Amino acid sequence: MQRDQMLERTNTLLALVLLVSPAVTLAEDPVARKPKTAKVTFRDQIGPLFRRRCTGCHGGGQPKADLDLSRYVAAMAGGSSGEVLVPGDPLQSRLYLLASHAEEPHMPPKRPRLPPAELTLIRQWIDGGLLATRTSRPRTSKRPRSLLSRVGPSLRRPVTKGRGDQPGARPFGWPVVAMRTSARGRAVVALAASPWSSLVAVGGIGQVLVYDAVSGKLSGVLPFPEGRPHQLSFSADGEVIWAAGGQAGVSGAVVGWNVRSGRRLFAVTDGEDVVLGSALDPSGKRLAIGSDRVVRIVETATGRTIRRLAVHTDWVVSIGFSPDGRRLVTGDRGGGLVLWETRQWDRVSTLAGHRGAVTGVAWRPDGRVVASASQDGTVRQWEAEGGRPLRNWMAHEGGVLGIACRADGQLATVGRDRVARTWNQAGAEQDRRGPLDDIVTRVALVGVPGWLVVGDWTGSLRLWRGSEPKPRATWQPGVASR
Amino acid sequence: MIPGFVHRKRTDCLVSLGGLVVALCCSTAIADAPVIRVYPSRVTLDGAADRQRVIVQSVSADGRTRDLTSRARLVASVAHRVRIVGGVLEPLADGALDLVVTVDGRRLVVPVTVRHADMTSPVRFGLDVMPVLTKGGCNSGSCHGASRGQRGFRLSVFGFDPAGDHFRITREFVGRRIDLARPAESLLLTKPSEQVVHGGGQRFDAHSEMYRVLLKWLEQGAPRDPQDVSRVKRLEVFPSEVVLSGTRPGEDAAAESSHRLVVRAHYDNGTDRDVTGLTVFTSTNTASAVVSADGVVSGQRRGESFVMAMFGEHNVGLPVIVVPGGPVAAFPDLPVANRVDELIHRKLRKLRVVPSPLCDDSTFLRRVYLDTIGLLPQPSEYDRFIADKRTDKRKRLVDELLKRPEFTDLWVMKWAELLQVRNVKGGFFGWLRKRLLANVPMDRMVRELLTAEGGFFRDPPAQYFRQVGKPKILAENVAQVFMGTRIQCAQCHNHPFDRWTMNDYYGFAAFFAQLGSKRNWEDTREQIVFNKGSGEVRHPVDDRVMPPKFLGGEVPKLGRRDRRAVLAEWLTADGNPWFSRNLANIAWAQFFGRGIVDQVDDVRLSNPPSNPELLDFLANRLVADGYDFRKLIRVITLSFAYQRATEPTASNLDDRRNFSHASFRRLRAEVLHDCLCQATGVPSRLGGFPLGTRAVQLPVAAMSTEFLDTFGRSDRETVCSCEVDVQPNLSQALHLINGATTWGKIERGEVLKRLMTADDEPATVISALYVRCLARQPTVRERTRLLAAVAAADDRNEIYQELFWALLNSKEFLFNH
Repeated sequence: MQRDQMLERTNTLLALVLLVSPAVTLAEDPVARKPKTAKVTFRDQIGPLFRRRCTGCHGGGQPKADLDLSRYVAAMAGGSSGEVLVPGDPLQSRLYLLASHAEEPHMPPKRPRLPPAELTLIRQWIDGGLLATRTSRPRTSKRPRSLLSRVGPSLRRPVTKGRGDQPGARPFGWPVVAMRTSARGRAVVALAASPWSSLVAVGGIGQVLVYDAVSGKLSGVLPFPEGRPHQLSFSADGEVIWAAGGQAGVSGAVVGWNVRSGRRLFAVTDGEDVVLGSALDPSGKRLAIGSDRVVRIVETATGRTIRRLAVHTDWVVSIGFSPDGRRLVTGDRGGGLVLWETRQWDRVSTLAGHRGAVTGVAWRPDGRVVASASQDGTVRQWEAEGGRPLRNWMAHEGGVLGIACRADGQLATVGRDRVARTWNQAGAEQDRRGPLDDIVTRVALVGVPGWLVVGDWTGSLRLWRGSEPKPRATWQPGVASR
Repeated sequence: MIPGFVHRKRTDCLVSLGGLVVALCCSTAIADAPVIRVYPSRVTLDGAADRQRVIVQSVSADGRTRDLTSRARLVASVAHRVRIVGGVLEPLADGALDLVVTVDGRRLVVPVTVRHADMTSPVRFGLDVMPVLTKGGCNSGSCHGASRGQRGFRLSVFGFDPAGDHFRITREFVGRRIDLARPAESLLLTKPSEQVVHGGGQRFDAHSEMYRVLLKWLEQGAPRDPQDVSRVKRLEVFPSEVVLSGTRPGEDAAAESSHRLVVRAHYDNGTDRDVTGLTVFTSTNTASAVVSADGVVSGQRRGESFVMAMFGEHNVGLPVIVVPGGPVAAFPDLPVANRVDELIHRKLRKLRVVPSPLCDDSTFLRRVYLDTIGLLPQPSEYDRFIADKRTDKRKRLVDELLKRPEFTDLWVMKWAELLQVRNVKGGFFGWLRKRLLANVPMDRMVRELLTAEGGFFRDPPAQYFRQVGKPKILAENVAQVFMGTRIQCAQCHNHPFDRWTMNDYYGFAAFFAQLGSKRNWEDTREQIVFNKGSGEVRHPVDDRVMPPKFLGGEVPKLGRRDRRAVLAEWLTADGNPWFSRNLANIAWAQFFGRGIVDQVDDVRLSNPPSNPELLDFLANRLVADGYDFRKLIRVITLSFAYQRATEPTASNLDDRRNFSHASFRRLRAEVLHDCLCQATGVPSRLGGFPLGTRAVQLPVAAMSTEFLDTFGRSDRETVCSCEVDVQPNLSQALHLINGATTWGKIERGEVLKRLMTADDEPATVISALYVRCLARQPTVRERTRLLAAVAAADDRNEIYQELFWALLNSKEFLFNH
């Protein structure tokens, strides 16, 4: 195991040396890797693509909506609703928004979305200034660039907060607790991984089970007699782990532990049902708890409720503080998503767009962008200062169930299509794993770069390392071997 | 339903002889020993979990049934093969045995087979779990079956979408509704058993069969059903009949009597299963009989009810009769005119209801005129009929009326409503009229109609397929008009009170999926309907193509034939019970004001015929007579049942369904209008049609008058029988009293003038007005008082006008009775 870690480090070093870049993860960004000379033009790629996909309706004698995509000039002229392409800005280009199913009506109508490769091609063509041929001059737009350019399209370097080479917190001398087992696995809903170590925590039966992803062994067990953990998280510094959950229809609770000692730091009880979502602010002093339709802000030290935020119209299920603690997002089962500032607890914005339960929120480590995942199948990205939408894409047909954001800003998602995917900042698919045997319910990013753990409906966990096609480990926590 | 195991003691004849002797001393003693039946007649226990409840019933000679189960002793001939717990058989070891039932000194034997006694079969989602959700009321429209569910948890209403329900229970809200690591802690169990707070209260407790089914399914890992899982083929309910009666005399005395029901499901793999515990029971008339959740039906007031048993998507019904207890008054020996009377009397005898006597000649005359030709008898016709002394004069009258063109007019109108003929253009109305005038057999006419194609003008019946692109609407209409059943519910969910599932609905709609239409380019006003030979209907839940399937029948082999032709052939085949019964019922309703199934287009499991044997007889008769409507109507009108008086007897006062007396029926708008014109001798001008056109003859739906609207003329918007409104209301009364129609016609008419010129003797004029309006002579009291009024009047014309107006406003005029 030790050797594996060494290898991993060596690989990383190699990548560093090869690319002469400070960003560890640049190696995995295909946009960055792609040489700038690969021009996407109407004549070479886009024209044929349109003829294959679009000109059946948007072409010929009477093109639909007066939009003729069969010729370059006509495509530039747009249709009855105006221009459909804005050079350099896919997110203001109606053609791209409809084709990527970010806006309706989805195009092509009543058909699955274009494959990611084709969408990427269209986006690159727009980004590159809508070239007609290789020798054309890129077009420019007088319009201001969309928000995305202002928040920065991607993180150039992972956020490390100057930790240097300090190892992450690990269990040491935890009280010995026997693992409780059952005959069958339970769908994984509580899953977390430490951002700075190889610890993976998963909900058990009245317990939290903590594994070491490197050794594959159980590191320790944290008792959670309050009931069933429904959500697990590590704090950003990896020092605290907390669980939200309870007994369905009876009581709810949120409990936090010190990762090193296994000691309880706080325990907050709540209401008459399971707490489905919670978040600990970076200082560790305040906890946001989804209590039915209300978000309760609780002081961890005293258990006192400081504030009750009552704007949601359905159960609050997904909560996340920004890494700097200045912002909070709360999402509910009806698709409602709200951005708050945490000084006066005023609502900054209602993040409208999701049409199904918000299943997860993930902050980019620099705190400027937050992504939300939903049962409607989409991932949406929002700018954190004012809550304006940045972009969105269809991530998993049937619904996204889990989302996580890496130190470099890449996103990992899992969903009902039984697949786990990773995405770059632009929403382009980087990697795909699966399909698995059943729906994939949660994803967590292990504090070892490139390591990914997913949980599924059958209660199995799978650990992938880097781009290896097969999982390095598969196990069912808490299931008695037969 | 298979009749129960019947066993009569060999000494039956002796007992009845003895009974006869006893009857001399004590008139109410049992004249005949009751028949004892054990249900089911044969038991097969398959698998360790299989159970079968046994019930014992006695049927006395007068038809009353009693549940003797609690009194009966059940003993297995091979004791180690089954265990008997509270009347329920449980398997112990494989093999055959006899179940010996001893009750009241009688001994009956039920053969029992035990198979796979040591084999446990898995709980299936569709077969076991879904019925629990229905039985628990979980998926009812007011709970999780509501379109938005409850607290975010939705189930398909009455379980039309098992796959969707499986998804919502297991995967929609991951980690919430079920917990496979600790199945008993799943909300799916703790909520309905109210171990935790549940808005819907406790649906079942932790010891119930329903709880056990859900728990076992969760312990198995909440699996979906395999593809080859066996399905329920049919459902049966035991016993086959229940006639509850109390032990004391009096109307409410049946309240103490009850009877246990057992429901058994038969699967397509040949096995059966006692599903009583997972069945939803409902009673259609809780004033007479209530049924408990576990299937015990209890008598209330005298009357009838129909108990429905619903298991999963299957329904089955059982008629329950409740009669007063105590000694049974002798049922009079009633004369019968034909088979109709025999069948009605048989039912009335069961209900202990004595019918009213026959009505007098003048009442019959008016009734049969109005029902058969939609007009009043002319005074001359009245005189002739009253003067006729022949004993078969009623028969002669009916034969005469059936030949009159007005008879055809009346039925053309009814068919035009059913087929939604809304204008004269294109000749659809003319086609219909021609067919009925020629007395074309109904089955042939319907075949012509359903297979019609071509241009609307050249082939008028093609207009029936105006809504060519809407196979669902066409299917709904055909089902409602020609089969008398409403399948609309099944478009979105399985019909909760009938047998129709979404599969049935979309399978039936598929018959109309291949219709095409185009414009006739030679005459662009004309549309042409044709068979495209392509096009399908898809199931909305899983989008699969539905093969055409007869409603309540099989999936036919189509070959390359027009699907409609295959359908028409099936529908009008002699063996098809729907078509002939429906037509017979429509005919019956015209003469009794309500169908044997009522409404006539609402045949449904939970709305059974009040007299199935009667309906079957009429249907068979119609088929035997080559679908000749006139012959059927002759049978109906010549029955004594049709000729009964409206005045009730002591026992039939409450009867509305069994034709023990004639009922009051408000004349429908067109007939009332025509009668008013006829009585006053002043025809109305109706739209652009020639003066003298009767309202019954109007081919146009849109053409109407205030009078016709007020009295509820159908605008032929839908095929529903409810389009014709015969409910009396205030505006109708006001219209008659104050409106221009009545008074205007009296003033403009020459009736009075002619009467007074002919003979101004007051008694003659009064009598003539009565005959003219009410088809009867005034009573002595009426005559005396009217004569006095006439004598006191200054202006005779005025007093006669007042009388005329009063008669036309009388309820007697407005109603057929």
